[in-house]
Amino acid sequence: MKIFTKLLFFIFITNLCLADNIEKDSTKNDDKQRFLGIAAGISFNTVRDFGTSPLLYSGIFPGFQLEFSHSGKGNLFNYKFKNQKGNYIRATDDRVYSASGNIFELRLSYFRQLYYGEKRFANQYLGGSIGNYSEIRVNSAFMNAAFVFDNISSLWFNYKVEKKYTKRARQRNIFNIIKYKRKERTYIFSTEVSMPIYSLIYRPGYNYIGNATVNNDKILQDYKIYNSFFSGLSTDISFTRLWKNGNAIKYSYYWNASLIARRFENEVNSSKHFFTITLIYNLKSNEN
Amino acid sequence: MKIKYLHIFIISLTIFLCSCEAYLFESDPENSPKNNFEHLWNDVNHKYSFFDVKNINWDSIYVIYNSKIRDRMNDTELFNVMADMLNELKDGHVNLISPFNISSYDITSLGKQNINTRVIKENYLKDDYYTTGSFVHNFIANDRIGYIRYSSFDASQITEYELDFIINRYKYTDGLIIDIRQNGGGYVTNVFKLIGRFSSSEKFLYKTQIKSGSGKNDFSDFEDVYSPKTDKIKYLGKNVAILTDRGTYSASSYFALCTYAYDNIFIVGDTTGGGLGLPNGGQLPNGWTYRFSITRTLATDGNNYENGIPPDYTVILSDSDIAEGKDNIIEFAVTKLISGY
Repeated sequence: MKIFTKLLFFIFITNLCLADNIEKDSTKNDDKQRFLGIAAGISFNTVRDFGTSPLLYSGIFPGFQLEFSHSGKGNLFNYKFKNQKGNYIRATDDRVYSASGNIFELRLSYFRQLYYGEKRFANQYLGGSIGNYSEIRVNSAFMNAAFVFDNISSLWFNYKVEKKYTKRARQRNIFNIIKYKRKERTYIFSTEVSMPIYSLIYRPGYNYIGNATVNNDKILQDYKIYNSFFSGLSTDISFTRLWKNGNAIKYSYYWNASLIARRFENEVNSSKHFFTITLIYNLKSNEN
Repeated sequence: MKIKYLHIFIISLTIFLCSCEAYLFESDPENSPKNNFEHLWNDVNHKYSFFDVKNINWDSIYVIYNSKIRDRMNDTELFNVMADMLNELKDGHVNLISPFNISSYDITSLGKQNINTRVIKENYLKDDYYTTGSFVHNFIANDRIGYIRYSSFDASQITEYELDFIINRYKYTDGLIIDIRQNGGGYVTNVFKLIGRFSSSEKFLYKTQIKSGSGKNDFSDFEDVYSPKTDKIKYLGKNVAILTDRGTYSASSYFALCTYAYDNIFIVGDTTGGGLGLPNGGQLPNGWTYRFSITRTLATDGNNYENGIPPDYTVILSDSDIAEGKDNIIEFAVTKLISGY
């Protein structure tokens, strides 16, 4: 884990140094833009909750995502809400164990564009996010300990690189038989690396069942709050094709790995590989 | 830099980071007999809540059963060793669950089955009994006593309507018998609903705590538990007899324990099976699951009755009375109720 922390810290410091040398750049994107994205996709998730099992469970989770972003004067704001629902499976030699999972994630991000002059190759952004992640898992094989609710609020550090490029229109032919003219196409290639700097975790205490013999109305008995620093890593790669009407379609791959409540007895290992297709509506151009 | 190099760089970076997932996470533990045994022993060692009450030296249990673990033992042999180890806890809330067998400690075998359901049905409930939810009930002793057979706290959640109906039906009787013999427990919430109908004031029932760390004495602070306040109809000013035996376990034992707080409720029969700890679940490296108790409870008198709640009046079912069609435990309770306890 330390190597990743160092890597991100290096990127962060490097960019802060570069940010100090910001030049007034006539090419910076001052256009105010507003986009709404609606995404659907499929995620390959894994989880291991040491509070109940030393085994890694994995599963396919269909999911959707709503995304709103607006930008202007080198600032980029992005708000995302994700939901995934599916089943974690673990097959042993003689039986298959299953845990249902329901994931909700809200993330509010801010990025500041870094300028390196007119000849910069790609736009770079530094920023931060606040996010809340909730997951409900139910594994009936654990009987009274079947139900687990995890809630994690995190402060993230983000670094993003974005390259916009255009393929010009040209005449093409296939096997000298089919001739066609390829229209001009514009793409945005983007990648983002994020790390949760600090996380506040609300999840079961030492035992997962809570003391139900206490006659009160508490739903989450004996839950505790944990603190965690640098508890994971995530990347988000996307490839966007812009249409002439200002709308776009985006193909994304999001990866996240988390060590929740690290160094506590009931640590949780969790990862997600979320592939999505997003339809992006340019709200500003549609208004026009 | 050309676009294609950027693509290659980004994709390479992503593949590198994703491949680090394996580096970030521990690999699954080896599925060996030794590992499974160690995992189970350690989890019980850290979390089980009744070592002191049951006077069990878990370290010496380790020495005995660890010597029986061999690398090449098959699943059945491994299961039997681990099940025998768990049964040393003498706890009905302890199970090892594999695809081919479930281990359990039969708490009911500690005492005689103190009930004959056929005699109860033929000579006490008779043909015109009522079934209200999970309760089976009727008038007995010339309609002076209400007899309620409650065979499981697990069958369903008791509704307020059911309790209203039953208490209304028996409100003019001289006393009530609630028969929870061979009731293996179920929802603890049903305990509170039922006990709340026997007092107009809030009563301190017991105090409880949960294991909060790996040390033997790492428990949460005690929490006092009180009977619920309810404005529903109640059975007040009359005595109530609770019938128990060794098969009265878990939530049923909780119910019996709660009656210690009530002066007008007494217990007749045999000591209950105990089970005053909530069982927590877990999983072994080979996938088998297990459960054991991780809470403990003290009665209003400060005692831990995990090994069984003694009755106020010990009455064991008489074979000769049964042969005559009588349940001497019910008869004893009726006499006590009519004579004013």
